Amino acid sequence: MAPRSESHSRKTRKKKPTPRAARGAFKRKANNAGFSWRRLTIKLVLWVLLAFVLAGGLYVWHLADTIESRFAGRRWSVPSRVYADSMMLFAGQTYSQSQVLKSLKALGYSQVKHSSLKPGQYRLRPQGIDLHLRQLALPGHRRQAMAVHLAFKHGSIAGISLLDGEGSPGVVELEPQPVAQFFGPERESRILVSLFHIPSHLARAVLAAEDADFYQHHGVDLFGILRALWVNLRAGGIRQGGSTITQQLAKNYFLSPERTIWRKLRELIIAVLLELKYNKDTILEIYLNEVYLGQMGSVAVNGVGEAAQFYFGKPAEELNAAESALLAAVIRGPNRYSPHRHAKLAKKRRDWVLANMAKHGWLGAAALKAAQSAPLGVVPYRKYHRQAPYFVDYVSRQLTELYPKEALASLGFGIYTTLDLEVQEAAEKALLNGLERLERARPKLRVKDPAKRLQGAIIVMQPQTGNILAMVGGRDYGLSQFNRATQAARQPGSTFKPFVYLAALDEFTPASTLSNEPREYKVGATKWRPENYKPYPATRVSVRTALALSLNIPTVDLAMQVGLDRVAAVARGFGFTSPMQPYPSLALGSLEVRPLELARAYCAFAADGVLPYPLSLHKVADEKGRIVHRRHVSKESVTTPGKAYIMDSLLRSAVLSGTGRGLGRLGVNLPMAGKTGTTNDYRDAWFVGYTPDILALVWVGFDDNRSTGYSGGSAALPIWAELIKAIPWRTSGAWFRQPPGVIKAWVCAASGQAPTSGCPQLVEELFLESRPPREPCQLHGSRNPASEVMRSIGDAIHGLFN
Amino acid sequence: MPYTDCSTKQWLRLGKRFLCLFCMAALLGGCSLLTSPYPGPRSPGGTPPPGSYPAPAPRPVTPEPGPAITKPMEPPAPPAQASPRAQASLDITEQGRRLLLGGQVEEAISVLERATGMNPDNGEAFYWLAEAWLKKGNPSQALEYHHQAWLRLRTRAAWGTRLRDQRERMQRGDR
Repeated sequence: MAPRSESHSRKTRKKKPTPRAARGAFKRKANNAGFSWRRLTIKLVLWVLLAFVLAGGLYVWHLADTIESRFAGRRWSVPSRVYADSMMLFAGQTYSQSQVLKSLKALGYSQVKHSSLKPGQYRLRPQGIDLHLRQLALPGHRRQAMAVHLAFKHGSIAGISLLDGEGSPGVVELEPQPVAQFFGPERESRILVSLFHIPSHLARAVLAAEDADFYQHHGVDLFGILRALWVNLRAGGIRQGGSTITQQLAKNYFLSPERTIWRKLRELIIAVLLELKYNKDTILEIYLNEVYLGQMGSVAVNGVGEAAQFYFGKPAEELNAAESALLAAVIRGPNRYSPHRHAKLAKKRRDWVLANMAKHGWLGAAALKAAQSAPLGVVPYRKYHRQAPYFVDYVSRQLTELYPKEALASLGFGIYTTLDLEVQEAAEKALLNGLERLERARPKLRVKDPAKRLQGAIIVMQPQTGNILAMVGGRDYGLSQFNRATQAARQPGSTFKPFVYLAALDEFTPASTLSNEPREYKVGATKWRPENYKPYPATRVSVRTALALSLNIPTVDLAMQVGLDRVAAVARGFGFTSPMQPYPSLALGSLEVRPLELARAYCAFAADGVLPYPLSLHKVADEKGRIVHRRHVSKESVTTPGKAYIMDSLLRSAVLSGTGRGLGRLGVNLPMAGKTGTTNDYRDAWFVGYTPDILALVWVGFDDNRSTGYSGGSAALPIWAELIKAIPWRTSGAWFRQPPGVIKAWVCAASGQAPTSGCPQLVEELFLESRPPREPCQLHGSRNPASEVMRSIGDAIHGLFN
Repeated sequence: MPYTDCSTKQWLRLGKRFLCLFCMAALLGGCSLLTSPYPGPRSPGGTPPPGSYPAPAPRPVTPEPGPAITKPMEPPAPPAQASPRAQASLDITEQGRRLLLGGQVEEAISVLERATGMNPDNGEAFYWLAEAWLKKGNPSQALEYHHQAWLRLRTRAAWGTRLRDQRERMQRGDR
């Protein structure tokens, strides 16, 4: 078959055309030419269409890929949050009802009048507070929500008992308060919520306000668009959007805010793609976490979790129907319907949302009535501001060594610190009050240039753990971010003297006497003659008196006898890092120290001679609460407990009868130790004071080293007193326990040696067991026969066992 | 020389020495009562001492008789009449101890550190911190805490054995 047909076709091709046929052929050619133009056009159109379809497909594919890549990984930048340490409440604590209420308010607990409390609520009772504590879910430990009764008496917690059941829960831990956040460039604040953990009325309120048919449509509500189109046509402009929640999400998440047809088209495509890719619940949850709900200063409030905290000061899980409706009402226009600025408009829209909820059967008639009659209940407007900014900076510097800044701004870490917000607040207040008081008393200290104002710094630490409880690096963080507590290199003056005396404790005792006679010391080619701050008449003084009164002449005498190299070695052992020149003036604190170094070094006196590492960061947890970094207390022994105890006693004298005695007049009657410090020309005023429980350092001075005209006792000490009086629950009133290796003995008050019958006055003094007072008093020579007898008996007993 | 090998003469000599010691002690007591012209030390009340008058003497160093062997991970009963703060600190210590027993060493350390911060005189918290650091394999930190525990618990009979045991384990390098 095939060869035949081939020959037939060959024949047909070879056949010559007749003229008629040729004419017909021409005609056909002409006809063929016309037909090919049309075909060409159609082809062209088809090709263009195909290209459009291909390009559209490619674009849709690109959009789908964009959606995939945005949603597959991290959906949001969640700033990391810094938290203060948790507050612990226990029976017997000096913590008043008003202070507990302040803490509860700061944590977003709401006061109610009914007795059926829910987590996050409290009720005032005649003798205390009924409190339903929230569940505590901190990295590393959890506690179930529980209802307790706190009883108060005389400004203290008299007792804590369980509301549902017998007994006491023991120590009650409150949630840690957020202090600051690390934002990215977009400065969005967001607390992620899960759709399954928020109350159903919150999700329904949002649906009622924005898209009641959300669960019925497929991303685009055609009827809604037509309705919006009609309204806009009639109005002659864009008045209404027919956006579904999915479209809003598409717009907020992927598109710029301008209103064009092209953007609308893209919005529709993305919305449909979103609906194809994700289920309704996921889309709604993303929307609830994404939606913009207000502005706190320079920081945007995004998502219902953050908005619940911003508007109601509590977690989204605790919102009631009226509060949920208000959040839903705000979505349409966070500025226009702001409950802080336009309360009436906000309430009107909230009530409309509530009515809409009822219309869809999501709210009963009684609940609707109750919710509509409820006040807005918003907490006062607050701008975002970092609390404890110097402390947060200090922590932040440590964090950036662990994680890049971008990670801190986006990965939503929980950063748990040692900060005690109430101590911090008391420290900030005490410093501001103190500096203003000094300026008022001496107006020439006031300067117009804010950068040159009188400055100060405070550090509060727990000596045993090294935990930094509070840190104030200056009087106004907004004006100067220079952290004087950690960065300023200042001369410590007399606050350095205790390290000289400690270095001498192997050869000297608190009762040893030192020369108070002025003398000159050769320093290179020059001569240096130390003088006392105030004249002191005696030619010899005891070690205790010399340190208590902060006398310069005997301190230099002591340092020269001990050796400056040894003093420097002791100081280095206590963590001072700056270079120390072996000049006699080193004994008077002529080196430079950072206030934090000094505070830390004093911690060793308050902690049995153990030097703790200053700790500000406890834990870093990831978004899911898994601990990714943890720090523990770290300490090393730098002197013996016996020597540390003797230093505590010497520094106690400084507070009782020495340069720090002003504390008693200021109403501080705690058993405590401390040391003042003043540098040349009154450039620096210091006070470091401590109890076994707490240590605080105060520094006052000018950044440019001008004279303040104040001593440590007159400038820094009153600030210390104000601070410590404001935090009574932080001190126990206990004194240090005398460690082994320390004994007490009576000595001659004048010579500091073992007493004789001629000694007119005796004092009881502390000694290291290895250095008891053996030498009889040289000043009041003759010996008491009774003492002689006792001494020989003692020697006999000693001989018996040898 | 072991006492079992003592001859009668040696026993007599020893007896004389003790008699002599007793007489001297009686004389010492009498002299101090009759001849001392100085005021005695301040009474060891609850109030803290002023600077020139140091703190009251601690309780005798000699350990009181107590149970010979106790299980190392069970806490002895806390001392009676703990202050509210001390009691709260002990409550937290107990939480820390349980965490440690449950193998959560890191969290136990954090909790016990809180207990020492709340009451620096809480020797038990230091003891368990030493245990925790031992478990964590850091003997130098464990030793610091052991020493601080010893300073606070050495006069409490129930803790004497425990502290000795801890010390021995540290020397052996046990965990």
